[in-house]
Amino acid sequence: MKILLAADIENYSYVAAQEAARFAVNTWADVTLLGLEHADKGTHEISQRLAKALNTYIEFFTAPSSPFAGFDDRSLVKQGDKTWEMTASGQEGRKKLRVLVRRGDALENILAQTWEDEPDFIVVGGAVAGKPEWLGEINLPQKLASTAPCSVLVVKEKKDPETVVCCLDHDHVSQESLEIINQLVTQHRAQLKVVGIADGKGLAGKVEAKMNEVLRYYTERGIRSWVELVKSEDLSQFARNASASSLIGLWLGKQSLLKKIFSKRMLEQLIGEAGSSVLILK
Amino acid sequence: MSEQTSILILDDEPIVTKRLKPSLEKKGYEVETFTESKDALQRIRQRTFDIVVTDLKMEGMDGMQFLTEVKKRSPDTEVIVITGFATMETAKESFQKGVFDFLAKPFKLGEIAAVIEKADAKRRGR
Amino acid sequence: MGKSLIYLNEDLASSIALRFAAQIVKQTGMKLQTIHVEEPEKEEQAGTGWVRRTWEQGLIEAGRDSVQRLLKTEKVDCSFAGEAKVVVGDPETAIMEELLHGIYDLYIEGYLNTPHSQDFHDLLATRRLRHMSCPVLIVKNLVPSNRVLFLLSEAVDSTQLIQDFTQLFSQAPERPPIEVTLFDYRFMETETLRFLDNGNSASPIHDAEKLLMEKGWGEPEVLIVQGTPEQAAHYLKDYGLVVSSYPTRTSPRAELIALIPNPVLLFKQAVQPEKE
Repeated sequence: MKILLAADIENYSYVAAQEAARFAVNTWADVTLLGLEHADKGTHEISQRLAKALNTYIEFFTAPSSPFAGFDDRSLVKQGDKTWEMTASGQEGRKKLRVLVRRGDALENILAQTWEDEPDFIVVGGAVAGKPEWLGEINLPQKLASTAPCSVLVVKEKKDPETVVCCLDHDHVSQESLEIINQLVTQHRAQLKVVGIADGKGLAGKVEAKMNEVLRYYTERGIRSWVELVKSEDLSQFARNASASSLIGLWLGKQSLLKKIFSKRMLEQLIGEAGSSVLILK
Repeated sequence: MSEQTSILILDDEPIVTKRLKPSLEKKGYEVETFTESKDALQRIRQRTFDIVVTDLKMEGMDGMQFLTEVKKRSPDTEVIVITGFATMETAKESFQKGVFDFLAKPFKLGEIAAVIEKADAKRRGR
Repeated sequence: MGKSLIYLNEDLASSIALRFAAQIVKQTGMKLQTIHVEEPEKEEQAGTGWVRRTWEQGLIEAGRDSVQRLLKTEKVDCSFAGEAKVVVGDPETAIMEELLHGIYDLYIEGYLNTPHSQDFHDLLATRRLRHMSCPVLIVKNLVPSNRVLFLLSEAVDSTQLIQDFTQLFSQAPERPPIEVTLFDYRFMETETLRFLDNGNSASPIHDAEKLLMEKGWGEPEVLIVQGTPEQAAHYLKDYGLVVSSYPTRTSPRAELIALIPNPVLLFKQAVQPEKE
């Protein structure tokens, strides 16, 4: 498994780094930590604040018992006009931690790194309303979740959810997304709730059939799974209520234009309004 | 390759074995796949494999038991564990039992192919 | 040998209900009868005489196929009372008629839970369920657990509930490995659920406890609990089955039954309005 953690210097990135490290250490995933910086910073060195933040984030990954243990004598080496890569020694761990910095448009840089690394999912922090956001980019997690070719975990808080609540409004569910949920549920020792989103006409037959398939997949693997039906107009309220003790997920697949619009609205509601972390599954 | 490396893959999800087999055969490996642990167990009693790729959680037999059996019969076989339910404890236990690497699902074909190549290089370097 | 009737459609709720039904009919030693109702659209209603019979026959064949597909997909392993009954018409009427003509010990139906408890109250208010003479099992989810909880309150005749429940298992091939909890629920607005002292041994819950032991079901866990229906529903999530009497009017217990995501088995009892 490959994870891309995109981080700046704000508190939400600190929390996201903690959660990403916890997940990566448990799953022995390969990790790229991508530090992001404004384009208007000087051209030679990355800022001290980002360097310090990156060092803190690296510590989350490199405890002695971790598969990333080591990572000493760190040094950022300029790779190109606006990119740096960290070199380090003593990585006796078995898994790869790659640390990079890209300067410029945050969304573009995360997407560029995504195309290069092909991670299974991206972890980013989600800002609380009214607080500083992603190098001035408003709604970056929402935009990333809409455009990234892989799943995205928007971390808002550090907690062990009781339930991973995954919402489905279409019938495309990838094997990768099922496996990411497996790992999250295992790590948090959580239960799973598969929620079908019904429109004005009720739950579409195809969605219902897919929910059944998903339910069967998890029950066969011994994961306690619940099903529930939620009307699309109630989704916002539902997400707010569920976020107290759950991690909210949304399957976002290849869809018709109409469905895309429907899902975009749901996505904004989920990421913007849910207090909990949100997982966008592709 | 001077001598074909033999690989046994055990995973109760047919999608995994179906994806892996042709891709590894293309790279010149001799591959046998199993979705039932009892069949795979029977096979390792008949012959040794250079590399074994096994899932940890399957119906019938625990993957940990399977890898213990593989290592007992053939200590030189390199075992790669794949799992949909990774925890620090299972990873540690796997390494204590001498596995070569531990891969959590989902993974791309390229990732597992790279791990297999490393395991093969280690085996040939002995 | 007892019989259960299960109402099936080719949908998720029915799939879940069928999986649970297979388990419970095996445990009780009952046979399962499936019923499917093809409800034609108004504009579909076709002619009279031969034309109508042919049209109805087509609908029945299609309905039978869909039940067969469902049974095949779910790989149900239990005894069936006969072929699937497929009826064209209004489901309420068709099910009520079937329950009048056949002698059933249990009626089973699937239901997809929603965050609105009113949706479940609406289900309980349907004619088919209100007029049902046998116990009703509504399967909202599958909870892989052998823990059964009896949801009691002042409005529930607890000894009658135990009698009725154990009667369902009177023809069981063997006593199922069930762990029983008696849960006396009392409404109160509290911060968290409060567990009260078991107290007076002469209370109805202790009569129920004695009766269960007399009938060879072992010593149940006894919980007397105060809280809101939401808090209690959350606490009950891990039980494989919740058993209570059929709520006939709005009450905190009725709200709790609506909120829980577990399968619920409801027995009809004489109403005790002043207590509910």
